[in-house]
Amino acid sequence: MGLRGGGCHRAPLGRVGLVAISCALLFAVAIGMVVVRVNGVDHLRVASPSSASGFPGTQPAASGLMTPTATAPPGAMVPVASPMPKSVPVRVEIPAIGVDSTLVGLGLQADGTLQVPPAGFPAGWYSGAPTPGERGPAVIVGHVDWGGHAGVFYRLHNLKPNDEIAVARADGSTAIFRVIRVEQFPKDQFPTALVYGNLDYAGLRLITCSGAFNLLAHSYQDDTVVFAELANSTPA
Amino acid sequence: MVFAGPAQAATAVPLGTAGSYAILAGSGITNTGVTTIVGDVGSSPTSVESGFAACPGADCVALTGANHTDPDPNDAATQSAKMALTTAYDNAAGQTPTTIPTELAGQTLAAGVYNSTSGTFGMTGTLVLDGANNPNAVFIFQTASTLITGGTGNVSLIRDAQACNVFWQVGSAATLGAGSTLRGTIMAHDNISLDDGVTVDGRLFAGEQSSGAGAVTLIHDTITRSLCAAPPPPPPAGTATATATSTVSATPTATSTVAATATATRIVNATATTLVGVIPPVGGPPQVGQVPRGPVQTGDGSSIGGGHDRRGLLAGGIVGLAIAGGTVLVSTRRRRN
Repeated sequence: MGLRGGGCHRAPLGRVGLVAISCALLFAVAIGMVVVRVNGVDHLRVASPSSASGFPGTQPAASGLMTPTATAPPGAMVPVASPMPKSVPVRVEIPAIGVDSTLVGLGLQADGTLQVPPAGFPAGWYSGAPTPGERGPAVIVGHVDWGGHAGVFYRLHNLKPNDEIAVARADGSTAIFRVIRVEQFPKDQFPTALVYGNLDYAGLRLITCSGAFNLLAHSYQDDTVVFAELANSTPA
Repeated sequence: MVFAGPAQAATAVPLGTAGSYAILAGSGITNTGVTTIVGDVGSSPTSVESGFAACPGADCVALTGANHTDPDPNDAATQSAKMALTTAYDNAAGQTPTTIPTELAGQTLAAGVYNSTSGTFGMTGTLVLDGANNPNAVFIFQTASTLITGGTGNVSLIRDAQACNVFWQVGSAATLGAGSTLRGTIMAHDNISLDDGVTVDGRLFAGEQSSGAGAVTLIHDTITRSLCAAPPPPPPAGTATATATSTVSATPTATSTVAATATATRIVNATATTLVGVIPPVGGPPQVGQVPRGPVQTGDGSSIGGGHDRRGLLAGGIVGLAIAGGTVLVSTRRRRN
């Protein structure tokens, strides 16, 4: 369907460090990595191949953390809604930043990078990841700008924790997420494991370009990632 | 049940100046509870609003858009919009329909114009509107009298169907049951009443008649004026090829260590200054089977001030020029939260 590799081609920047990090993270994912939520903070945990102990549906005790409360906000855990059955997303709405977009399915490019939508609108979802509302990390990406116009995720960086993201699904249900946090990462330090690693809840990641723009390399230098969790849902 | 009969072709209903409104009424708007509205609001000729105090409050409206009732009631814009509504209503009512069952739930419809033998439509379940991959697919529903949705009423849009292209021409009044979801623009001859917790992905236009009737009643609802997704712009012109290689500082501030035999491994978020913790190991098949490689490339730098700023653009340009002049080591690290 004419999906293209995207306009902000990554410059050949810092390959050695990038490759080292990427390889480490990808390896981590390959051997089994899970991101869990403790007191509102995403944590990575790494599977030991020797302890295939199943997949808990509950969050671990805080005592399992070496730094249990350093980054945790005050207060009790925020309840996360139960995951929903699989259903393809058809629309995303983010009232806080005026986003209302249909969704196209995205796959991988020949070089293994994520496809991006063919234009500034609409946004797209990675069909190789769980559907929004399913347990695991659903992924929706959109352009920050394209062809001289603001793209669908032009204002993504303005999102704040607890802002709502509604994803309408083909079965008529709606998955309603709340923003956990908004982070900006240099492209050469893109947190692959944190974005795509296993979750013990239904999560959502919204991604777009951000940061400085390198005119010659035709690439933004950063990616903004919005991390969200399922807060509510309406039935099919 | 899939409706398989031939559907009459529908053409988009021109909303004119009413298009900027999320809610348009003739005899006023009443709100109870906390309601969210995205789009303009107005009522003409009778400009009465109640429960429209700014949130937070017991009865309040979180409004993103212009309120054409306060401080300038029945303004020229709203009068014009009401006339545009009448034109739009007549347009929708004048298109040739295909007759389908009164109960919309359970039906899957292609683009077209629809009415029912009873002259009403009800929806106590999900109606699916299938755009067949055409983002311009138009759906028009005509009733001689009422449109009533039950609590489970829901319009599901699939394959590029858009709420901006769905129109409900209601001959008398529309009533949306508590918790229901409706997509599209309702154009009612008389009143529109929403129960508690209704979601409208579209517009509520009441009182298309010139008599001045037509009230809108809201209870803790969410109304979002739906806009069509912009058509894809032409592909960008080819960019200058840059063959110079550059090196931007990649000195990692944190290292990621993964040891297959470790029972607990410290993982450091690549850019966050805080440790994200160490968790006891847990297995499970990967939820993302094929993990995309590297970052995501979503933008062409053709705007200013969104995800980046002028300083960033300038810095990028300088980097580019420096690279063009030779090899340079640049350390550009920006982080905004």
